[in-house]
Amino acid sequence: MSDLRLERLVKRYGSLAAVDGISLAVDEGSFLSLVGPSGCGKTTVLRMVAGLIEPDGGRILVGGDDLTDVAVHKRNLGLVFQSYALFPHMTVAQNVAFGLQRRGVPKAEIGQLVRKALQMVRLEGLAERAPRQLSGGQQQRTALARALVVEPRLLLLDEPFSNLDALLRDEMRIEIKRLQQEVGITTLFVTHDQGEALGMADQVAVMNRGRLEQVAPPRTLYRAPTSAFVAHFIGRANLLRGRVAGRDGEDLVVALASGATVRARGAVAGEACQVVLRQESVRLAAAPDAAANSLAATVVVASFAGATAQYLLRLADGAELHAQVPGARADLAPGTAVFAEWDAADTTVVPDAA
Amino acid sequence: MSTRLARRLERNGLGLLSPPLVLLLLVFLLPLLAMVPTSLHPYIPGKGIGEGFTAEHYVKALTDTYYLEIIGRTLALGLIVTLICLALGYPLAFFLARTQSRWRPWLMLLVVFPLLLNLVVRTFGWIALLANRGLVNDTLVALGIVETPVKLLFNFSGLLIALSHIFLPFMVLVLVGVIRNLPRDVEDAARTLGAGWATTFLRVTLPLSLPGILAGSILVFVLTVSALVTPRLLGGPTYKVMSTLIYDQFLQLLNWPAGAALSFILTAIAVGLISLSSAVARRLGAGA
Repeated sequence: MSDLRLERLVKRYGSLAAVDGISLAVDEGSFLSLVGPSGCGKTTVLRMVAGLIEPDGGRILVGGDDLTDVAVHKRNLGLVFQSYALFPHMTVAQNVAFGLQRRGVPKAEIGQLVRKALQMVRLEGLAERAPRQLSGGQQQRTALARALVVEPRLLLLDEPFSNLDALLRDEMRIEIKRLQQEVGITTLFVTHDQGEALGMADQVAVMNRGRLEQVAPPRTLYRAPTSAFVAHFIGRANLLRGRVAGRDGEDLVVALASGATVRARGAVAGEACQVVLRQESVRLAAAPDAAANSLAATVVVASFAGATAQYLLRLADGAELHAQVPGARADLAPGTAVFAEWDAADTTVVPDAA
Repeated sequence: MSTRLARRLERNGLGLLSPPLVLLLLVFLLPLLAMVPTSLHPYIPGKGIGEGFTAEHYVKALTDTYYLEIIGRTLALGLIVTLICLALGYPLAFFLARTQSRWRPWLMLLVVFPLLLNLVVRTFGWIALLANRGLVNDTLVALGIVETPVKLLFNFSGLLIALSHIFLPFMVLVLVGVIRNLPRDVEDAARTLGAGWATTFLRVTLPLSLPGILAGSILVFVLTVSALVTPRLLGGPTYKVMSTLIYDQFLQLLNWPAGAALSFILTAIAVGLISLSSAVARRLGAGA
């Protein structure tokens, strides 16, 4: 078990920098999600850590050892692939035993370790099955057992849930988190799904176009994004573009393009800014409230989803605003004129990226 | 009855398959079976096919040392050509399947290119190369590697060289297809689990390409043992393999019964070897 440290890692494909100077630290025993849209370079980072892609610059340190130039098969890392990548010509038990055989573990011991590993992922009865005879979830458990049985220094997960259906995905998410905590292994988890990233990790690193946007614990990332990209990517927040017009006690006064002013919290360098407003922070009212932020709006789309209801509103200046309200109180038809309200304390500001 | 039959045909797909199946039966299997009685008739020199039935052609082919030598030579040729094509073809196919070069389509075309030339032309090319005063021998002598020309025509080595060259593209094409479809993730997984390059190849890549190796080998073997033009031209009238022997029986001696019997023996050997190797491969595939 070791910590992972990336120092200014770079990978170029031609003139394009797929990974553009990433520095990142994953503490011993902790779980870091690396999340970003497809093509942002997150999988390239993971494959560089595994040794499957050679970096063009920077260093990879595991437990203080520089692994940058160490061959793949000597790194002793556990990697679970998106496709699971089980050996199709071997049984489940042979798959799990593969890494142990490479390490020269005595035969009798291998049998015992394989049995224990399969027990850990609850596949005891399926040891003699071929991978093609297993369900997606069982294949993933096999891949997990195969990666963990060799006691690797790191566990690397490359989009492990994307081939599972929704129900199984939730189950495996909890399963993997439980295993990770039990084994206490340092884990780097790559995903494009912000829900998975937040739900599993101690720390979340958001990547965009080869660079890190923000690294923070899930709650901080959600409540206090530092860029418009992170605010939108994590939880699809509303972003209201405006200029800082002044300060009133704790609040920033922001003038929106429509001329209306709203109050927000946080600090930003310069004047141009965007107010981050979470969908669930928006309340809908029939009359304006002078005490809170309040903007006139029209309901465009109403979508009822049981516990919550989703509204798409159009503001006076044409900008769109998403609102998520408790389902029990949602009965507004499209076309209804409403006032969208929220508390300044529920907002934050980020620099205007445009 | 008819609905039950219809349902059955639907279920196992035979219904869909039946038009080509009927065609194959009519134009391939029936003429073949028509040869069975021919092979069992006696042959009377000067007169042709006689009355009555006899197994003498089969007995003679399987006991006479002259025939046994030719059968053995044909099988040895098939086996060694297959092994040479495999040894040369696998690395080539591996490279072609894995290269990122933008020349890849052109390299593939180079592999196929010999097939675009007429077989007779290619064979005459080998005669020009392998003759006593041919390019190969002249070079060897000029370099002082040998003192007198090595005999490469009208014997085993000439056939071996020419047939390996002629059938290599088939092996390569089959293997490229299979190797290209091997999942790269699986090899990467082996490497992350501690397998070096050689172990990954031996424990993962090679076993997974076994179906391609088998298909390519069967193809090359069958083509080699049934090749007629190349053995005829490079072996001359005296150095025979089974296909040239059968040809001579039919068209030179007009001994159709013996020719038919030899044909069936060749077919039986080929089918037997193919089913044997399939069985072996299936066991290897399941056990590995």
